[in-house]
Amino acid sequence: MSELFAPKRTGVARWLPWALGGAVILVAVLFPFLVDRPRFWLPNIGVRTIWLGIIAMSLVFLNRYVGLLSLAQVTVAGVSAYGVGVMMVTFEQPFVLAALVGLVAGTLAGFLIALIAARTKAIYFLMITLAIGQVFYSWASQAIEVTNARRGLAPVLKPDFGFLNLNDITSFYYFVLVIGILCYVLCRYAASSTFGLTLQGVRDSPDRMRALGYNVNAYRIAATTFAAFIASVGGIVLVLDRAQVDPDVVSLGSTLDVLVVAVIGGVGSLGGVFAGALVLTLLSNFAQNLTDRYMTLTGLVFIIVLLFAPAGLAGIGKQVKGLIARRRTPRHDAPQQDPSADQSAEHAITEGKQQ
Amino acid sequence: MMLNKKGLAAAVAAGASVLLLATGCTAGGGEGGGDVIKIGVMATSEGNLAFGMGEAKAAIEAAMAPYGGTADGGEVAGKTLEIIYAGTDGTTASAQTQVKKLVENDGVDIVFGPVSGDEGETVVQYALTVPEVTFVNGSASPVGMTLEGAENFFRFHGDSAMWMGGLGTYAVEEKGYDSVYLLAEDYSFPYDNAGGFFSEFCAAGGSISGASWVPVGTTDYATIISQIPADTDAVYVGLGGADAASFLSQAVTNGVAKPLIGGSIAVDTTALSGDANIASAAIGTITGGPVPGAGYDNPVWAEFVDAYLAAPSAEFPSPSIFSILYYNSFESLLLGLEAVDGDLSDGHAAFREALGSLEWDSPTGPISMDENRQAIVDNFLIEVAEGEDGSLVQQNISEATGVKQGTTVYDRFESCDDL
Amino acid sequence: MDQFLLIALNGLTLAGVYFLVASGLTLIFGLMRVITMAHGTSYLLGGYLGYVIARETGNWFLGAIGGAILVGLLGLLIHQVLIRRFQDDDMRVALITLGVSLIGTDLMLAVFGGTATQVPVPGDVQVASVSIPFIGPYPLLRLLVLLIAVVVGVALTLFITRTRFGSVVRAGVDDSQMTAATGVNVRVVFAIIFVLGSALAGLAGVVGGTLFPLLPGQDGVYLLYSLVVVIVGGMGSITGAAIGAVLVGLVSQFSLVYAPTYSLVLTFALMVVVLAVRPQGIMGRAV
Repeated sequence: MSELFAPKRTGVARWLPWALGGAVILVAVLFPFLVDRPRFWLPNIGVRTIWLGIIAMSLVFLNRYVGLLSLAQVTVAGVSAYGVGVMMVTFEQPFVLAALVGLVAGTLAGFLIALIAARTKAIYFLMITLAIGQVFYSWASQAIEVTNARRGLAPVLKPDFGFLNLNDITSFYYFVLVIGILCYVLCRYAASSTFGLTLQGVRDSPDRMRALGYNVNAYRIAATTFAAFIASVGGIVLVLDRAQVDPDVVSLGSTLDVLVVAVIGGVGSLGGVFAGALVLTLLSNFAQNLTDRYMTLTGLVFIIVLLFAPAGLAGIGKQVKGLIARRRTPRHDAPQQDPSADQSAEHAITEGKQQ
Repeated sequence: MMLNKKGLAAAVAAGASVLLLATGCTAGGGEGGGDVIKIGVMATSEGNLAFGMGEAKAAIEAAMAPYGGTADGGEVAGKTLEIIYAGTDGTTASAQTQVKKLVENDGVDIVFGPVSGDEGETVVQYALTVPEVTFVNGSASPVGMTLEGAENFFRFHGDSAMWMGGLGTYAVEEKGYDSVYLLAEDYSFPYDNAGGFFSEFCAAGGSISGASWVPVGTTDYATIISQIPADTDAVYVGLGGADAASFLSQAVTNGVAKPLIGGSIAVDTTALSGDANIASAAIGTITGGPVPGAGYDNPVWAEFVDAYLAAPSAEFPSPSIFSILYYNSFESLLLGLEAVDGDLSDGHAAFREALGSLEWDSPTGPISMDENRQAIVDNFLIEVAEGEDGSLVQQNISEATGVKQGTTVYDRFESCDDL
Repeated sequence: MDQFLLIALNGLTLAGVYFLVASGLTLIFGLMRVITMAHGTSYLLGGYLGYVIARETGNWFLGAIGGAILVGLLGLLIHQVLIRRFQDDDMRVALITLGVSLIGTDLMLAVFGGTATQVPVPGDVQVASVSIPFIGPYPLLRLLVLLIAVVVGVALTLFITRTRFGSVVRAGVDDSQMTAATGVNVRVVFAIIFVLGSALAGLAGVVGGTLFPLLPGQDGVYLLYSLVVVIVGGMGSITGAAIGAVLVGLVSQFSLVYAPTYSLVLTFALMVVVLAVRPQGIMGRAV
């Protein structure tokens, strides 16, 4: 939406985003050579950041383009991870088959959740997905025949494709990085396609779209299913990284982790989630050195972001620019300066809300 | 889109600053040269077992005191011990994060911990992937941990089935219980714990009159209590924490007349020290576990209690199960280091050899090792009684000596035939 | 048959606790159209405060009233500082209160520790039982909990339907802008309802904390149960909350006997079934 009202791009504004995007990818590619202890940084920070980001990205996609805030994305990723776990540990199947089963299972789970929840309003959707997530958590904790209850399924071994051995941590990191970039590109593509544009129409004025002959519910369900597919991909990376799957993967804590990632990164920005994921990963590894009350710290950051920077880290640049613009220009001119800046930051959460 | 990318710039900047901050915090490390031995301690510092970290530190302080050391290290066997702590919240996810951090980022030689069973099973899986590091368990008790074949993993206390060692026979022969109703939480710890009790109980001629495996977190037991058959002699309560406290107070409210047999964490000091009125249900309950009750006569034990109370990190009036198990395990680790003069060369070969054949008199009786690097220990039988001031105390009944690990990893069971 | 009745009565008394928690949530939603995710935190905090007061004074009622009032005051603070500005943004309110609950859980763990406590009642009340036809002796304590829930439910209904303030609330539910136009200070009404809803959660914490243990984690459990109760019963309806609480209570008790392994799953499955048939909940208005 903001693009429609954005002022004409000047020279700098045109190349800067590409340069920044390139710089982020460059840093990510060089990451193994920039850190002193790759065996720690690659799995604990790098890979974890990427799968947290992928799962959070599916949440952000739903929020931004459908106007639904889902707390079941972790559950979907967990279904996918369990799919892989059951195939590889219980049935001793090869990874590729297991990954396919995981993807199908996760996507199907997202489809079923959508069937139950997509008819309801946004705030209901939030509560219902939270409750559905907890149903799955309690089932996974109990269903000893399928999930091996609390013990979980282990070990999920990383595959060796011959030309690519994922047991080598650097190869695994690049493998995951490519998956992360592909997921991002796929989300961008879906958002800018006819499908994505229709979704935004459905989000902003469902009644008008209905009058135009669109099946509003079908679009919502399709979008939720697509987001579930992205989350499932995240689940597969997750299970490879953790080498096991147990109920903790889908616990309330994990659900909140992904939500925190999305909010800190910016619930309106597909790329910002990786920044949010990086912050959370670093916090969970190192916050102990700073404070005993890690959860309080996380909660405070979370609330402060919501109060003052609702577009998250990805919106900070915008907000700062808006502030500077307001300072520089006489008051009566301010609204014309960059109408989208403040407004879209302020409405990053509401922007997606259904009418 | 333009705006998003620009936002990313801010994000990257913020991320980078956090990164610098974080790495600054972990500066130092390195392989430590030949004279420094790094030990990474895992314990729970968040969640409901958050006191685990304090107890782990108290135990380490008690063990390091004779060397003039502290919780942060000291001089042992001619080497400088450097002790690094990593807190978890008791879940497998945080255990994985923290154990990797200790090994890969802090470069420890030995990992010591963790606290909870879920964490333990995860850490063993990780231990299999880093054979160059030696792992000494903290207080995690799943049976399967030492049966995974991890040559670098040692446990110097009993598993959760061994914690019931001697109690089944005692229930039949001394208490005369013939049929017992099984009520337990539905996860791996109670499987092993109850399995340990009932395999012995059934072998001694007892029978199971019914079973309720309830989900962890069940707090309303009124209906379960009404399911207990009238002709049952006693009820086995394989619950822990809040669930156990809840059951005990509702047993009073709903008038349960049957004597109780507690799982190892059902009537521990935390359950008994609460304010709820549970005396009439709890008194007379027998239980088993690695912690001796009041009246245990052993000079080494008395010494340990004094050392614990003198430790700066000790927070409780008497050592908890975590400080006891962490102490026994850490002392074993130190004795192993002394036996080889701190020599960790050749992939810790001599050190592991020493750990695997260690024998010593611990505060809770003699400890020796079996071929799976699992301790053979004494186990304690305990009865809950009313103390002089009206508070509930755990009275020591007797010890089962030389309890060895079985090879069964238990699952849900409904009758003696399932075992 | 006796067994069946006993389980049903257990379900009803358990429903009493669920209703007390959920009534506050549904009250707030009914008027303000926002969901407070810190509702479970209010429950647990109320329980802890009631526990401290009842232990120090030896009087359970003081504990109940004190817990409710203090949590109500905290609710006022949260409403004024964090929620008022975002009144029309239900998503942001849900997320902000979720952040409050993260902090609340952690701070309560720091203050009250990780071991379970219960609000003390006099020993003879705890063991007293009442003889009920077809069932036999039944614990008095559980019946008292049910009684409190019924009294609160009736009082709330009368308050909403019979008082002048109640009619303002009902008008606000229908159309808050129109109500404001008639000269009613809707902001004050919102604040009062938020305080009342929080206080109900605090009271529920003391009542629930008398039967069941209080410890970190229970906040999340009761948040989920109250969400399920109001989703099943229909958001914003006191009667719906009562119906939802009874259904959830009965399902959880019967499944504990007939399918103990999946009792939690079945409790939540109830919600899914209701949603599939009636997305707005049993007593909810059409969405």
